[in-house]
Order: sequence, then structure tokens, then C-alpha cells
Amino acid sequence: MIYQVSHKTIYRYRSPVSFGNHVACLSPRSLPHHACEWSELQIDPPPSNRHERIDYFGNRLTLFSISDPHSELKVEARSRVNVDSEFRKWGDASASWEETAASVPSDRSRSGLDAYQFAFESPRIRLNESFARYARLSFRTGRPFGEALLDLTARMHQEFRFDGNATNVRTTPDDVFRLKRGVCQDFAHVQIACLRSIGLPARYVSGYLRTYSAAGGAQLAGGDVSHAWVATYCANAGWLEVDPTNNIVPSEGHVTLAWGRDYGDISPLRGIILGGGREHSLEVRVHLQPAA
Amino acid sequence: MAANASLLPNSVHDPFSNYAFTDAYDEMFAAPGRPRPHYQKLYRRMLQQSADELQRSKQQADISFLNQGITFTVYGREEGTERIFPHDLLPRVISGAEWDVIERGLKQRVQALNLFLRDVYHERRIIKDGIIPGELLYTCSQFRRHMRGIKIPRDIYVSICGTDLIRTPDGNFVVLEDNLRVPSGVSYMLTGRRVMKEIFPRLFHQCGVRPIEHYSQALLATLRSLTPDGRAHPRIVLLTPGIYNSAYFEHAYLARQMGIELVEGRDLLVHDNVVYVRTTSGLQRVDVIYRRVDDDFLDPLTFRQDSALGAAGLFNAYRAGNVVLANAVGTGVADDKAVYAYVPAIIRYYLGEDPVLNNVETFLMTNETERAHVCGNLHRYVVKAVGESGGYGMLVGPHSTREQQDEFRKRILADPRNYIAQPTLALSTAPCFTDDGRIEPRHIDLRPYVLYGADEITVVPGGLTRVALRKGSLVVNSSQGGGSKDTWVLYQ
Amino acid sequence: MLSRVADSLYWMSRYLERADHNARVLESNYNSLLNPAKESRVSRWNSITRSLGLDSDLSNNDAPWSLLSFIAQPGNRSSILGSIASARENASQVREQISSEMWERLNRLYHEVTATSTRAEFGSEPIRFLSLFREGAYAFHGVTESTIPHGEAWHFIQLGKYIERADGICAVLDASYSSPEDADDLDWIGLLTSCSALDAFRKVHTASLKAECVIEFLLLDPDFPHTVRYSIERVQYALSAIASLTLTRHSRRIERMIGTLRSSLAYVQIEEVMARDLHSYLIRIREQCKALHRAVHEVYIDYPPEAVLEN
Repeated sequence: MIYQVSHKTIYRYRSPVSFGNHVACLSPRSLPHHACEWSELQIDPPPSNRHERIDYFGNRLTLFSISDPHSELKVEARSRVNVDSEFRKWGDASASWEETAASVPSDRSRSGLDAYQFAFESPRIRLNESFARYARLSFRTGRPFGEALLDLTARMHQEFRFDGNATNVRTTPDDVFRLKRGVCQDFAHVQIACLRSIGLPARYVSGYLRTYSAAGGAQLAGGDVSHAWVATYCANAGWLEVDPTNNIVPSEGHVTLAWGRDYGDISPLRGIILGGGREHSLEVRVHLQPAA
Repeated sequence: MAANASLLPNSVHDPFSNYAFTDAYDEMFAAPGRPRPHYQKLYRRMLQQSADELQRSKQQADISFLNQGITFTVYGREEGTERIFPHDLLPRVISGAEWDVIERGLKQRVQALNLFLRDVYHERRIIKDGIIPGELLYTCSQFRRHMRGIKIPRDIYVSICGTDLIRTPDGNFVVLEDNLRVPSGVSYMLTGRRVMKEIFPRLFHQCGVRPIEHYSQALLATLRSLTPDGRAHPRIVLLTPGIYNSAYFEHAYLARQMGIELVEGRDLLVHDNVVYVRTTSGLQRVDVIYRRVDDDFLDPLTFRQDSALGAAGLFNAYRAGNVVLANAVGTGVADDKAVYAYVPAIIRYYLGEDPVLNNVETFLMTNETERAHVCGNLHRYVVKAVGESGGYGMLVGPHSTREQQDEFRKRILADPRNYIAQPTLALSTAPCFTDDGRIEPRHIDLRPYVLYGADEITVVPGGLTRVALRKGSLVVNSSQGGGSKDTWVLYQ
Repeated sequence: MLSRVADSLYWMSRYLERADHNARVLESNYNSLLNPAKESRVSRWNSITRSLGLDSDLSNNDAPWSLLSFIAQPGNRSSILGSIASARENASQVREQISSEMWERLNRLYHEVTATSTRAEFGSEPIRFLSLFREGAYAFHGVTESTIPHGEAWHFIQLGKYIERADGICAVLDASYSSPEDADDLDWIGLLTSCSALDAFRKVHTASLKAECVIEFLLLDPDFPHTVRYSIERVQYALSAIASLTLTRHSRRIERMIGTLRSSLAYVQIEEVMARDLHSYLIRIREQCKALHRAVHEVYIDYPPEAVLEN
């Protein structure tokens, strides 16, 4: 499946901004069976300088500054991504989850070492016993890893309600867990907290979602904005992805943008501005369409 | 004391008559009335001086400190926020032979820690080889993922380091902690020396004390040696958090001594990955920043977004190699108190040598057996939070109440990674001049300063000797009632 | 020199001058209010305090001293206390750049006036209170003169002081002359006193207090430090010193502006000014001062990065 992605962000400021320094994490990663054929970032007003770099987690960042006074900042990321059906196919996840979890700390393979760092608290995801208790209802003794993971995802989908007004970007996983409401970002954070609380590495994946299913079925939630889901590490099978918002295993319909420990590592656009008044409005429009 | 009778003036004044010996190692006396060889001259001088003379010397020293403006800031006071830094009149003396061991140990340690930092931000061999657990790194709040793969000039991460040493009852110096981020206190070392030379010029001369006055030049040379290639006339600045920082006096002092600009974050501007300082003559490019601002506050674009102390884009300029920060970003991972426990292993791993200076025995609260043992015996241990410094977040077991112990037990169980425990150590004692005009032993430590430049490692002989001025106290931090002493390292 | 440091020095000096000026104006006007009440004097007082940004109208029935309570108004930035606090705040930002004597002077002044303002006798002895400012300012100028090098920092301090003084004299002239027909000798004496100029004026013009002479003196006298012309000449001197020390090309704009202002004051005749309109003449000078202030800010303090990088 080949997609054309357009991700447009518009900031409108109360008063003119005289200088702005920004970081965008808006260029999709290229991965096996997930090729970002091209991508570009259009910035208006034109930046006085821009640089690209790869961050710690391998994501592509664009850094730019704008030194002309402006009251509106438009950033449009466009890309073409080819996702084939091999991508995200789960390997063998039938070993018991405890076995898998126990193998992580001593796994000195490159991927094991890499995965291990996602097993701990991160700035926005603090762990506690209630996450672990919740996770253990699915991760029961001796249960195969994959089965337990799907069960946790299904339970979350059932017990949490999608509600765009209940939370904001600062809401903690703890609050979401109590409210049982939120958006994809919140659900991903909660599920990551659950997995890490029982010793499993889990990372936060941001990206886009095709909003209609290929078979013409029901609309999926989380489209037309950025989406977020979860990947967790299983020694034999590698990284397994689940989408707690929609209770599905991501496949051809998900386009990966970036990943990190939590939202904070890969927020799509952040910056420091001079001026701009106390408030600004933000508009985000995402379009994902199959390319001809 | 009869042996000293001949030295006593007619009035039979013995300022040491109250000198109480404890289990701790005493710097001056091998036994009551028997000073160690390198303290002989100081001892005799004290016996010859009357109580009044000592008192006058003390007053003279205080005035001299006041005139030099040697103050530190006490938080939370509207007026008179500045106080004289408490300073003890009597120097602490270290023999040449003792110092040589310390110097060797410090050089070894700073080299190993630099290799460690290079490794954790690149290949991470030490984890792959199972020398330290990966968990330690990934759970360390000071591990800066942004530093991964960045090339640091000459691979020097820590160029300015202050290592806290204590002397245990067996007479050996051991390392209590490393300060690899923004160690402070060196200005007190320098100004303290100046005052001592005014007060005891003859004694100073007779003792043969190694000089420390070249510290500022050595610091400047160290900073200059880190300059990015191709910058023939580097502009070096000192970045301070500003006048409300408790170490502002020191920042201003060092900037003046080195003849470099003292800047705040708002003076800096990053344009196209180059850092500039805003002057009345226009923007001037900055090449090296001796920063006294913590990592978290350096760049709101990369680290804490609410920071107003740094400059947006600074980190990217750093990444691009257009500016050098000293110390590098992310050095805190090597002075984490849990990582500290592994420093002897780190030295063996990278240098293939045995550590010259030992560590204090340390219990990691992440280890279940060690945790259980410590939690059951909190009254015997000193518990420290791994990321804190300055004596904050600390429980001194033998001096704590039941409630404090319960509180710490709770904290340890809630967040084991955040705590370590060490046995309560009898820091060595040295003679101090008390308010009532006597000389009594007080506990002390030693913070020497190490400068690691591209060309050489400099350890200025001596350092800051910190004193717990309260009788019996083991806490030497200035924020907690500590003071300082001049440190005399002898040629012999 | 760091732009931030220059900015703080400049404002430290401006705020101190403002406090000093306002205190002198209030002191002399308070003195004339103590004379038998006269409607015109009350309205003069009101227009003068308004010109100082001290918005507190007095009605005919108020006792003169009751109105002094607002001088302190610690929350009010434009109150005298507010100005002193701002001066001190700016000084504290650059303590390493000024001498310790300067800091001590300013700090002591601040503590004296805040302590006095909260005491009960403050209301009954306003003159003594107001004179603290004048004495504090004189002492500060004195130590500034002799305890720091007369380099860039010093020139920024001079710049702040004299630009503020020129503006302040214009403001008080304008407010005092709003209804010249009601003015009597007492009012002119008050005006001269508020610029510490009574003695100096008498030496030049004897005791005859003709309105035109008073205006001419405060506006155009080249030798007395509290006149507009003298102040502007000092501003020009400071600016050209700064320009040659910093070597920025952008200073030329400033040189033209100050040159124009200075020569207009040097060659104008008081008859021309009076024949046209004093008010609009003073407004024009004040606008030029403002423009000058902005230009200094744009060239030395808060310039856009590109403007400098292009060089």
C-alpha cells in the first residue's frame, strides 16, 4: 500500500512573533517493508536556516528558525510511504510472558540492549503498582506473550472511552487511568505504563492511520489527526505493535512516523518563540490517502 | 603536656587544653600532645600565640573576607541575602607524600570517568561486557540521550571536576563522591589562601606551601585547549544562571580572574548553529562556554522547555561542533551515586589498573538483600538520594530521629533506584578555632579540583577543606552550617 | 560590553534621575502649596503631578500634606519609591560592573526611603523625606564620577541620566506653562527651584522673574547642568564616545538625530519659540528624545540578529 501523507500545522499568534526556534518531528521513518519514498517540509514564513538530524531513537528531526516577524506559522509535512503487508507481521510470540520478561535484562544482543532501555519510567510515564495490577489480569501466569498482549489491548479498548475533551497533552497516565477516558496518546501512555510495570519494554509510536478499513467497514478512531500506538518487545518475535485505541494489531493501515519512550520524546512540533502574546491557536490537519 | 612546658609563654596558655580526641583520625595529632611532623610548625606557633592574639587574627581575617566580598547567598531572605562564608582560622596541612598519592588517584579517576562517559554515549561496551547493569544507565535521570554519538572535542567530557575525599580512621583518603557537573567552591579556596597569607605570612613561608594561585590561569588554559579547530582567537565566556544563584559570587570572581565575559542565557543568541553573545558592538561569536548552568536549563528547545537560563538552539550548535561546553552535557551520569559504586570497576575496566583511591562501601537500594539490611538498620547508615548534592536529601542515621528514619524507609521502598546507603564514617578531625577562643577538633573533608585539558591534567595542590563547624557534626556543606579552611600542601 | 549590561546601566541611571527630578518637583510645589490656597495653584499642582505620571488629583479642600501619601505607593512603578526600586533592581543586575561604592550608595538610599516611608512621621515631614532623594542622588553621582573608569559603562550611565533630565525638564516646563496668565512670582520660583536653578538663574537674570527669561534659562542655557540644552549636549557627548568605542556602523543614524536636536537648541531664539507655540516645541523635543532612546535601543541593545550578521 502506498500513501500520500499531508500533515499541516498552523499556529496563529495574538501578536507578532519576532523570532522563533523550532524542532519538527514530522518526517516518517524508513524501515524494512515501510519505505518513506520521499518527504518534504514546507515552512511558511521561510526559515532563515534549517538543519536535519537523526535523534537518539533514530527519528528524523528538522530544526529551523524564523527571524522575520510573523503572526502565523504554517508547517506542512508531505511524504509518500510504501507499507507492505510483511510489515508488522508478528513473529512467534507463544513463549510465556514471564520467560520473555525475564530474558530482557540479560539480553546482550544489539536489539535486546536497545529494547531494555524502554523498560523503565520515562519523563511522562511514571510507574506504580496499580498499572501492574491491571496488567496482570491479562498477563496471567504462564500465558503466551502474544495472547496476553492482545487480551490487555482488548480490555483497554472495552474499558476506556474515547473522549477528546477529557484530557490534554499534560494529562498524566495516572489521571487517564482513573478517568478511563482520553485519546490515542493517553491510551498508548497507559498501556506502556502497564507493560513496563511488569518488566516489559514498551515504546510509544506516533504516526497516521487510514480511517476506513480496506473492506469498507467501520470508521476507525484517531484519523485526520496524528495517531499513536504501542510497541512492546518480545525476545523471539521482536517488536510487536498493538493499537489500544482501536483494539487492532497495526498493519498496512498504519504509517509510522517516529517512536520514543513517550510523547515527550517525539512531539511533532515544538519551539521557543519571542513575542506572540499569551495565547495562540493551533490547527492541525492530517490527510492520508492511498496513492494512485 | 609536660613535654611542651618549655614552649609555653609565662602565662601558661595552652589553647589545646580542651582538645578532645575521638575515634576519628586527627590530622594534627598522632597522640595527645604529639603533633604529626608536618604540623609541627603550626603547633608551635599556636602555643606561642596568646588567646588575644589569636582572637585578633580571627577578626582580621573576617574583615579581610568581608572586604574581598566573599559571600554566599542564603535563600529566602528579602534583605541582607549575603553572608560571609564562614572560614576557620587554622590551615589544614597535608604532607607532600600524602598529596602525591591523592594527585595520582585523582588523575586516574578523572581519566577513567572520561573514558566511561565516552563509552556510554557511544558503543556502550561496558554494558555489553556486563561490567555495569544497563538498568543503571537507563534509569539515571542524568543520562542524556541527546548526547548519543556526539563527537566531543578530544573526548574530554569532564574538564573541571571536584572530588570529595575524606580520611578514614586508618589514615587513608577515600573518595566520598565525584562532582562532575558544575562543581563549586574553588573561589573560596583562592580567596581563603589570600587571607591566610595576610594573617600568617611568616608561618606560611616557613612551612613551604605549594602555591595554588595559578588556578585561574590553568582553568583558562584548559578551556582554551578545548577550542574548536580553526578558531585562532577563541572567545570564552562564563555562563551563569544569574545573580540569584547561590554561587554567583564565584561566577563573577572566576570570570574576573580569567578576564572573560560573565554572561547569562539572555545574552546569548543562536543563529544558524552558531552561538553569539549580544554586545554593544554587535554580535560576537562564542567558541567555548564554561557553563555553570545545569544540563536541564541549557537549552529550552532540547531540555526543559520552561528554562529561561539558557539559549534556545544552544544544544544544536554544540552538536554541530561550533561551540564547546565545559563540562560536556550528560556528565551527571558518571557522578550518579549509584554509578559511583561501580567506579573502582570502571577504573579496572578502562585502565586495567587498581584504583589508587578507594571508594566508601556503598549499598545499592535496588539490590534486595542490601535494601532489606539497610532498612532494618537505618540508624547505622547515611542514606543519600542519588541525584542530589549539597547535603540535601540525606539521612544521617546516628543523628536521626525515629520519624526521620521511618520517612526515609518509606522513600527508599517507594523509589529504590533513587537511594544509596553508606556506613557512617568518622571523618577525620582537624584543629579549629572556636568562638570562645579555644582550639578544638572538628570534622573535615577535602575537595581538590582537577582540570582536564587537551594537553595536561592539572590538580591544584590542596583544594577546599570543608569543616563541620558545629561540634560533633559530620555535615560539612556550607548550606548546612559548614565552613572552610585553607589547605596547605607542603613541598616535603 | 554586553548589551544587557549596557541596558541595565542606562536604566539604573534613568530611574535614579527620574526619582530625583520628581522629588525636587514635588518638594518645590509642595512648598508653594503651603502658601494661602489659590485655585490656580491647586490646578497647577494637579497638572504637574499628572505630568510626572503621579495620577492623584487634589481638590481644593485637601490639606497639602495629605497628598504626599501617594509619593510612596510602593506598587506604583511611576511613584518615586517605584523609581528607586527600579534603579536598584537594575544596579543589582550589574553589580559586578559598577563599583561597590555605587551599589552601596544606591542600596542605602533604597533602604532609607523605604524605611522612612512606612514610618508615621513621614506624612508630617514630607520635605525631609523628599530631600533624601536629592541627597542620595548627589552622593551617587559623586561616587560614580570618581570610582569607575570613564569608559563605555560610564557613558551609558551619563546617557541615561541626561536623556531623562532633558525629558523631565521639558515635561515640567510644559505643565507649569499651561496657564501662564495665572502664574505669579511664587510659581516661577517654584519652577526654578524644582530644577535646582533658582540661584543660578538669579546670577544671570537678577531677580526679575519674567516668564520668558525663566523659560529661556531652563531651555537654552548652555552652562547650567539642569537645562535642556546642557543635557542634550551631554547626551551627544556620551553618544559619540559610545560610537567610537563600539565601532558600529549603525551608529550614524543616531549621530544624525542627536546632531539635529543639539543644533536646533544651540541656534534657536527664545522669541521664535514663544512666538510660535511653546507647548508644541516642547512636545517636539520630547519626541526627539523618545526617538533617540528607541534608536539607541535598536542599535546597541536589542538589534535584530540579521542586521549585524550581514556585516
